Amino acid sequence: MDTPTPSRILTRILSWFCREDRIEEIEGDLAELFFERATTSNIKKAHMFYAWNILKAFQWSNLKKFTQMKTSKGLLINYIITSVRSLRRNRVYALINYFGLTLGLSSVLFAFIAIQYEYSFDRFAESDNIYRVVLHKQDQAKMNYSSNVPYPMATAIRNEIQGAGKVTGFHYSEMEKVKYDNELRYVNNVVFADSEFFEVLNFEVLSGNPKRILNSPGQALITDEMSMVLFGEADPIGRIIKLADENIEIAGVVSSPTQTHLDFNLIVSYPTLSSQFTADFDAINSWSMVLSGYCYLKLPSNDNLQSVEKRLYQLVQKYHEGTEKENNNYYLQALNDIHFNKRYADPRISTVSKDYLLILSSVSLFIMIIACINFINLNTAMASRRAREAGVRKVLGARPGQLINQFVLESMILTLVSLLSAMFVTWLILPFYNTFMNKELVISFSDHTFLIGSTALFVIVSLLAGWYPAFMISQFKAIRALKSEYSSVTLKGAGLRKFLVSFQFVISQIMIIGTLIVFSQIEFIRNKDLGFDQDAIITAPLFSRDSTELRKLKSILLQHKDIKHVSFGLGAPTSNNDLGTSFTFTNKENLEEANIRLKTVDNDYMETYGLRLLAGQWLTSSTTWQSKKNEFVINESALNAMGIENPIDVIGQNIELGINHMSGPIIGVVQNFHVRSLHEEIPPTVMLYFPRLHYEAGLKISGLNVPETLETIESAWQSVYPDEILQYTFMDDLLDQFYIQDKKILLLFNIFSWTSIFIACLGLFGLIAFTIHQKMLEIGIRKVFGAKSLHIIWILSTRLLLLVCAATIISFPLAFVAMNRWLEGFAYRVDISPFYFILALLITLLITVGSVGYRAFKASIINPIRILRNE
Amino acid sequence: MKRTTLGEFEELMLLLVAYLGDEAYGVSVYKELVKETGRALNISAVHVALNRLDEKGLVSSKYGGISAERGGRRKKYYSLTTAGKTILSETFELRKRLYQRISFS
Repeated sequence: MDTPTPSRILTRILSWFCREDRIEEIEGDLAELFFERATTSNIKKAHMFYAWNILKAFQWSNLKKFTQMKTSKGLLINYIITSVRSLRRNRVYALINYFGLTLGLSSVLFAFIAIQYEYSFDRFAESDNIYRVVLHKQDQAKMNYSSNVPYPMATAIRNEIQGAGKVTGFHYSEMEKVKYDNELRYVNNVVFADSEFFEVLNFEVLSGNPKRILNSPGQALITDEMSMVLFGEADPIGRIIKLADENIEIAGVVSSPTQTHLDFNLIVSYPTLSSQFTADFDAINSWSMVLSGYCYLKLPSNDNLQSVEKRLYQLVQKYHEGTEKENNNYYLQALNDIHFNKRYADPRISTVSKDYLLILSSVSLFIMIIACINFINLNTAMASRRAREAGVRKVLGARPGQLINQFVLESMILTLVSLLSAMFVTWLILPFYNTFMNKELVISFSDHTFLIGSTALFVIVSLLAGWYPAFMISQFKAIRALKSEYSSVTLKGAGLRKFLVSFQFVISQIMIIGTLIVFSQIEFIRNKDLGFDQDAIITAPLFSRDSTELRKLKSILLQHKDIKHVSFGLGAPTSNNDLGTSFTFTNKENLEEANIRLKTVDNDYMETYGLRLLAGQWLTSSTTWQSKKNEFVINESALNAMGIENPIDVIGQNIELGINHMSGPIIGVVQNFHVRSLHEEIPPTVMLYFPRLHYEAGLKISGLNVPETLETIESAWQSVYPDEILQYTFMDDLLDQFYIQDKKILLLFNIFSWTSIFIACLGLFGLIAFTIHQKMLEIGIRKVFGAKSLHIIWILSTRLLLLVCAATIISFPLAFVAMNRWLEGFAYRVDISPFYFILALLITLLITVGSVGYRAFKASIINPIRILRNE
Repeated sequence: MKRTTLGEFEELMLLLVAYLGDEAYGVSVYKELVKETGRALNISAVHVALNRLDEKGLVSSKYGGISAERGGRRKKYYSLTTAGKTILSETFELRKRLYQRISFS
């Protein structure tokens, strides 16, 4: 058996804090006690005892005396004075460092605030125990994820699953019509919640008893902000508003929710919910229809998570029918995950991917590192300028530690000034970011995390940037320093500088490649053929599904010469307005089922949006206005889902839709058009005439006399729907919204990468200026011996250019992997071609030549007499 | 020389160092102290006290030889200085005088 020894780490800790003249005694005595314990008692106890003794040895009188810290006040003032003097003498270099550090620190502070903001979402009491029920629905092609669940879910969980804790179910409506005092308004985000809503999600109730209100039909709570909009300063309690056709009494006030995925203006009691709020579908009691129902629960303990999920599966078996029994399953999604998880998100909720935050933080850290590298490079290169000072101090008795302190102090002064400027810069840019990204970030100097974070940042950056140069200077030999034997030529550190400069190039190249690829992907999306026309199309909501009204509207609109086509349907080809359902078809005499998206259209839809027919025909006016029979047009994806290649073959085949069991023949096939954004594949889609679901009008206009055309449209709406407010949208704008997030990220990426490249250039510029200064003599002599200017420039810049090329070895693979991952988020994407990499290399070469070239050129044309005269 | 006063714990230390003679070092003093007083003490208290006495000049210290059971570290032996002996006897005299005036009935 090995003889036990006291833990090395603990001993190391002791020697770290303990005075040197006492270590021997203490360590020896403790070791002796340890060995004794180890033999008399067991080893584990001996170790514990040893650790305890080490801890107890942490006594004030045993602590190392920080002789370096005992710097007298006079010396400290002297340090500050010399620091300021040296910063002033090397003004250009100090400014380069200042700008670099300020930009670097600003980006880190900014990223810090941005990340802190995103993580402060959805903070409720016992947040960690709150979950949302989500639906996973399998079809042949893929898994579909949704946060919408059947309406009876909450009740079923409450009654049948023990240990599920508090459960709330609610209907969420994006927009409802509210009438008060004969004035009509649209109120966004209306929740129809059951009585446990506030017990699961503890939004702040300002007045009223939420449990009672949410149990009584016809009652609601209003947010303080919405109350201001509707009623002004007056007390909202007891006022009656008209929501759709219901009279609702406001019985309570909630404070407006902030920083939550669940934004609302009005919470109506669940018993008020009727089919008029669910598009006339009888969905409220149905397990097979999923509209906009949600279910949240707060578990008593997270240990119940698995058992509750298991019981959810039993609910599927009990309530679902047919294929849904096998294909549907419910899971619990943690509340803390909602803000970051795109998978279940509705389009209306903006999620932030953790990848984005990762990119933001790493990019800002990179910028910080680049700035620190500048600092290290410039200061080690210029160390020779401080050699004499260091020598004199050493002769006068300064220890290496004291010199380190002095030079770290110098970097601290610079860092502090930069940090203060960075706070100012961050404060300046936050409002821009907020309007741009639609967020509400604030810089708060009283916030503890922010203060601790900035202090830590200050210490880390000043040490990271300042320690190595300070250490290097402190190691100078006094005599050699005084004899001026240290010059930048004889100094070590050139290898380190080369390494750090190539590291900067690696970062810059990755950022450039990233920017290029993001840019071309977004251009690709914007220019991709969506499968339909998007120019000169206006969409506007329809407020009723009454056929006489719609016919009237259409005829008024078509009277105008600049309105070419008018069509009604559920929504434009690319929009979030579609329904998911299943359809059954015969494939080689087998009955098969598949999922399909459903869009309701009319006879003018194809012409309005310019869809391209592949086979068969479009719905005709005779089928649409009169007949009751169903006829379907499908897209290519649906054709593929049915396993048929030639579109002609499918014409006439009968299919049955899951929704209302509608069946009929397929009469036409259209070329694929993008149903959702290009992030997603084109799903199988069926189009049919179903006027109960006509919610949007599409108008193809000529594009001439636009203001007049718009006026006509407004007056047409006014005459058919006198009670409503028209909100029309241009199709281009609508499409842009799909990619707005990507575009914004592109812009941010651009700003960040150019900032980092700028700082890196600054550093290069400073470094080359210094090198040239040191090499003046060499240049002079070379010129005397007949070297050409070009040759001199070549000598000065080849090394750097070689470093640029060397950096590609690391930057190219890294950039490839990173960008590949980003592109995977798009179903339709550009290929990563070598072009981007070559371009990035050329750009970095160009930038290097640009920042080096001017100085090198100036040096090369200098008259050698001027340099050599003094020698 | 400035007059130094002696705390109770310091007095115990001095007595133990004197008693242990050539064998007075951290662990032996600690063990003896625990054995005699029965107090639950940590050895660091002993170290701090001995070093303080050293600084006051009441004990002197010197290092002994290396031994294996101490992980290669030397023992630091303490012995009473003249000042230490003086103050110890002065304290003793004072106590004795005072005790003699008391009648324990």
